[in-house]
Amino acid sequence: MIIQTEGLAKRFGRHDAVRNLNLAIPEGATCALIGANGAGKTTTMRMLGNLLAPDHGRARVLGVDSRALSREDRQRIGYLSESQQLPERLSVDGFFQYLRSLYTNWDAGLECQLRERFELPATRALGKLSRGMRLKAMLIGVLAFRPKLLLLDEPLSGLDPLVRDEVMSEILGQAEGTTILISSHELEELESCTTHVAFMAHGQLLFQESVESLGARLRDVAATLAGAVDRGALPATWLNVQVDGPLLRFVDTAFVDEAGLQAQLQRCCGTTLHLESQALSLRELSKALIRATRKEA
Amino acid sequence: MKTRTGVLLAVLRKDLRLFWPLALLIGGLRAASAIPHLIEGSDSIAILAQIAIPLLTAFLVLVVLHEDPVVSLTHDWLTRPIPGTKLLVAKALFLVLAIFVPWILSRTVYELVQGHSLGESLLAGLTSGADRTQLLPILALMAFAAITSGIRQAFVVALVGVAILMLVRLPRSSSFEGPLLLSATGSGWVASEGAALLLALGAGLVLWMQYRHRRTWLARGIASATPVVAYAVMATITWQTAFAVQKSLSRDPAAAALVDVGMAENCFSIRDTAAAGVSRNGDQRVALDPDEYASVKRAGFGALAFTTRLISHSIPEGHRLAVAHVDFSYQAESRLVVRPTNISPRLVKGAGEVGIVSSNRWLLTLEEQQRLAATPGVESHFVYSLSLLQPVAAATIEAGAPRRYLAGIGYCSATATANVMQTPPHVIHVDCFKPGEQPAQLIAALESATENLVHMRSTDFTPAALELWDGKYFNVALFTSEVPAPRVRLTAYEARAHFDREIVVPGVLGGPLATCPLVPATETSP
Repeated sequence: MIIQTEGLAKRFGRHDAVRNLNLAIPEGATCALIGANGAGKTTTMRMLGNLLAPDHGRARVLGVDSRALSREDRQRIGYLSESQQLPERLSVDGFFQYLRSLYTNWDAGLECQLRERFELPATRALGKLSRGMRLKAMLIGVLAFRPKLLLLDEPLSGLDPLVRDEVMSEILGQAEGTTILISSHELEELESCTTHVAFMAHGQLLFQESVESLGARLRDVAATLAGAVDRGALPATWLNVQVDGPLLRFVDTAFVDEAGLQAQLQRCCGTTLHLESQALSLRELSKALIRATRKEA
Repeated sequence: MKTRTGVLLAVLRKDLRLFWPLALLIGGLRAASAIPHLIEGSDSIAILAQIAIPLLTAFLVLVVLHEDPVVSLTHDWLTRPIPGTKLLVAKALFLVLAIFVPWILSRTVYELVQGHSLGESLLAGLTSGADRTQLLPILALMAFAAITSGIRQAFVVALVGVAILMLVRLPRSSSFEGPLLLSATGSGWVASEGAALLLALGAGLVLWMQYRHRRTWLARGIASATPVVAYAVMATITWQTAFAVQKSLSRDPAAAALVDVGMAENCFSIRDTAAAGVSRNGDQRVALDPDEYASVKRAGFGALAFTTRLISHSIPEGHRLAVAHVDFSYQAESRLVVRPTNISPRLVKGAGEVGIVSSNRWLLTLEEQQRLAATPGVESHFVYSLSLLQPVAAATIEAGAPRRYLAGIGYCSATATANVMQTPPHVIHVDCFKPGEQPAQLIAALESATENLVHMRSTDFTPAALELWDGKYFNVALFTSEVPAPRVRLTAYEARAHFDREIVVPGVLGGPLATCPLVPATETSP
C-alpha cells in the first residue's frame, strides 16, 4: 500500500476532526476522497503530508511513518492544496528556479513543456497571477519532479470548467503510474480517472472501495408500486428514500442483481409495476451519501 | 549541487531575491554605524538612524522568518523537501549576511585605515560586529518569529506583551539592583551571564523545538517562561551567591593565607556631621559629601557618621588586592545588636597594593548608639570579600612607537600630545584592544620615578570560556609633566583567589568607649 493509516485521529479543541481513520490506498490508484465540508478530508491530507501531527494512530506513506518523512521521501511526494501559500512576491521564473534546486529528480524538460502549455508569464509575481494561473504554477511545481504520490486537496476549487479540464488532463497525462489521492467537490472531472473512492463523514471514514465494486453495489433505483409503501419495512441499505404516491426512489447500497432487488421490493412494498435501476455517477454517489449522512447527523 | 547544501542555497537565494532591498538598506546602515562616531551625536539624522537601525533589523528578522513560517499549515515550504533545521540554518545565514557581515567588513576596513594590522582589524571587526550583545537579541527575535504565524501576529503579541509589562510592572526591590551592584565588584557576570545564558538557551530550545519538531505550544510555553526565569535570576541573585560562585572558581584558594589585612585606625574616623559643625572628634573629623549629608539628615537628630578603612599589611610581591564587598555588624556574644547603615556609594570597591585598600562610611542613629552603649561586650564584626590579583603579563610601550601585540594584554600603542594650556601639559593616550580572553584587570602606569600615574580598568572576573568571543578596548589618558616620549608600563592581572576575611574589633568605633567615644551630632541640619 502506498498509503496506510491505522486509527488516525486528530482533535481540535473539543472537535474531533478525524476519528479512527483506517485508510489503505494501493499503488497506482487514483483515489477520490469525498465527503461534505468539514468531513475531515483536509485534516487527513495534512496528516498524510506531515503538515499536521496526528493525536493518535499513525500513517504510513510510501512505507514510511508520515512523521518521519525524510527529504528523500519528500522528493517523491507532491502536495497541492487550494489554500497553499506560495512565496507571493517571487516571479514565476524565480519560483521554478527555487524549486529546481530543491529536487534531485526535477525534470526541467517537463517543467518547460508544461510552462509553455499553460502559458505562464515568466516575470509576473506569483501573487499577481489569477487563481487559475496560480494553480497551474502550483501544478507544475508538483508534477515536474515526477512524484510517486500526489496528494491533491481541493485542487479544482473555484476554477472555471475550461481550466479544470486543462488541469485534470495534465494531472492525468503526466502522472501516469503515480498514486493520487484527491479530495474534490468537482467530481465530474474525476469520474473518468478515479479507481477508488473513500468517503468521509464527521471525521470518520465510512467506506473505501474500488469504483468497480462501488458501481456494482450502489444503484439509483426508481420503482412504481401497486400498493402503499410501509416505511418501517424498508431495508437499512436503501438511502435517501423518496416516496411520491406509487413512486419510490432510493439509492440501494447493497445491490446484487435485479432479481434480488425485486424480491426486496416485494417484501416491503408489494407488487412492483415498474423497476429501473442504474449505476450512479461519482457526483450522484457523493450527493446521495452526503445527504444520507446529514440525515443521520 | 542538489545536495543538502543545495537546499540551504536554494532557500538563501530565494530570500535574497525577495529581501535584497531591505537587506541592502540595513546592511548599509549597520556598516555606517560600525564606524566609530559616524552615526553618533544629537543631530536629527543620527538620532533617526539610531532608532531606525534596531527597528529595521528587527523587522528584517521577522519578515525573513515569516516568509516560511513554522506556525502554518499552508505555506509551500512545508510540502517541499526542506528539512526544518536546514531552513533555519538558511534563514540564519541570510541574517548573518544582511546584519553582521556589513558591520564586520566595515569595521575591519576602518581599523585597517587606522593603520592597524589585518589580524587586529579582522578580530576587531568580528568581535564588535557579532558580539553577544548583538547576537542575543537577534536569536531572541528569531525565536519570537518561530512561534508567531506572521508579522501581524508578531506585532500584536509584542504590543500585548509591552502592555502587560506596563500594567503589571515588574516587582522592583532592592535586590533587582543586584546585577548593577555586582557589576562594580567584578562578579556581575554571575547574574548577567547567567541571565544571558538562560535567554540564549531558551531561544535555542524554542528554535529547535519549532524547526525540528514543530511543537508550537510547547515552544510558546518555553518562550514565555524563559524571560520570566531570566528576570528572576537577575532579580534574586544575591551578593553571597555571586561571590560563592566566584570563590568556587578560585585558581589558588590557598593563596588567601598570604594576605594580611586589618583595620587602618585604632579609632574609626568620625565624619563631621553636616554644616552644623557639631562633631567634636578633633583632628579625626572628615567633611560629609552631599550623599552622606542627605543620609545623615534622614537619620535625624543625634546621628553619627564614621569611616572604616581596611589596610593590607602584606600581600605577595607584585599582587594587588581588590575589595568587592564588606559586611559590617555589631554583635555581642555572637548575637546581632545593630547593623549600621552603609552610606558609601553602594558597594565600595577598592584595589590596591600594600596600604589602604578600602574605605567605607557608615551611619548610626541616636537610638542605635544608645542601644550599643547599653550593650556590654559589643564588638564590630567586618567580613571583607577580597580578590587577590596576580600579574600575568606586563610590557612597556613607548609613546609614538608602532602599535604591537603584547601577549596577555592585546594590541597596544601610545601617543603623546602636548597642550601648554593645561597642567600638566603632556598627555599620553594609551589605546589597547584585546580580543578573546580578557585580564581581570589591566593597569597602565607611567614608567617614571617622579610621577606615579596609574589608570586601571575595573576588575571583571568573567571566566575565560565566556570571553572567547569578546573584544575589549582599553583607552586611557595619562597626564604628565614629563618630557615627550615617555614609557608606559602595562600590567594585566588575573584573579588568583577569592576569599572572605573576617575582622573583629572590640567596641563601637574601633575600641572601648573610653578610648573611642561615641560623639554624635547635636543637630543634623543647619
